Amino acid sequence: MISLDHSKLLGFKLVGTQRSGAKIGSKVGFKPGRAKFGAKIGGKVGSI
Amino acid sequence: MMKFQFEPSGTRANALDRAMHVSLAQSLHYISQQCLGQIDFDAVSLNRLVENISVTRYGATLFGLYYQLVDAIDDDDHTQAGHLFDRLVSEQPVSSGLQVHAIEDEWTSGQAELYRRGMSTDPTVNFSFLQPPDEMAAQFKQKLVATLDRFEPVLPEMIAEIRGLLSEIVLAVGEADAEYVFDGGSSYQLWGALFLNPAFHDTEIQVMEVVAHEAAHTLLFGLTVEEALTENDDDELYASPLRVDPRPMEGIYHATFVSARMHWALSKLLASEVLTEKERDFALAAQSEDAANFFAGLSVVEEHGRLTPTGSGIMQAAKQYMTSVINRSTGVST
Repeated sequence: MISLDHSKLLGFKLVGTQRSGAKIGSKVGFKPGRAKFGAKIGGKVGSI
Repeated sequence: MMKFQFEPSGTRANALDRAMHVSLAQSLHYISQQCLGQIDFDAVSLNRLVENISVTRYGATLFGLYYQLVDAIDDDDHTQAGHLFDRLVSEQPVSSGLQVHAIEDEWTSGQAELYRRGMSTDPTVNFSFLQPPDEMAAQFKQKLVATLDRFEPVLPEMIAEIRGLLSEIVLAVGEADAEYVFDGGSSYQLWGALFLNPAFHDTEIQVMEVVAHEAAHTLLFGLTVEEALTENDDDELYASPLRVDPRPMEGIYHATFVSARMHWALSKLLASEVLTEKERDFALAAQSEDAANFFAGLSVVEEHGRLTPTGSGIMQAAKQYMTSVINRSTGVST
């Protein structure tokens, strides 16, 4: 079995060791659509 | 040029894009060394790829394949890892300029599936990314190109930053009957790609706004290669002034920053003579909403966020900009 040192993977610093369970690089930024949301969720600002 | 300066910078964007490529090359080299003798792959071609990545721009597909390779190795699936090494070494540098294409206008085999996977890493969000109708995609592409051309004289550094950070804009729509659809999106795992939903953004100023929004996410991704923005765990959820559902601090931080960036872009456009009266009305309303969202998000970040030096530096610069142009008590631009 190959055991990769995750500190040498791109995106490791983004999720960090303290974020257990988070996959490396698993960050997605979204700007949710407006038409089908409630007032706040349909606002201008999406979430990461 | 300061690394954390709030205002857009094409020079910084180019440097971040290069740094991301160099980091990928270093990591791929490390992975290949670990796999030698255990996984069947063309080591000579991979070494050539690593050298090329260090000096040449590649598209989001290469980054997506890299993350699939990591998953396959972690899953001890050596057969799949071998296939992914093959796909990696067949990747070619991207042509210069910002490419715009629909999600299933594939340049390489399996690209659409790769994109969908890269955009679906958040288990709390479930969007579909479907091929838009040809006519819709063609019209949107024309509108996008016209938007960037039209506003480039007013927003030269922002457009330069966008071109520096992004190599491609991918058009995709949601399911017609979905309750939850996306306007735009970007993924750390697909560096260089920005996803837009051509079913929205009817006007050029709306297109500019969503591109500014998503490019700001990408900028933050690029600034966090060496260090995260916050030390808060993703399990720590806070009431977000920006969404009805509680969100991790990282998400609130991102939303706060991109609000300031959209405000900046709209302010520059409003200060110019390029907008029609209708566009000015839209920009003024959106700008006011961006300011309210920024200060609402900032209050959560300041109260609960445990920011790293990187996170603190970036947010301080954004706050300095917003407080310099806004009377915080009234939300009125000064």
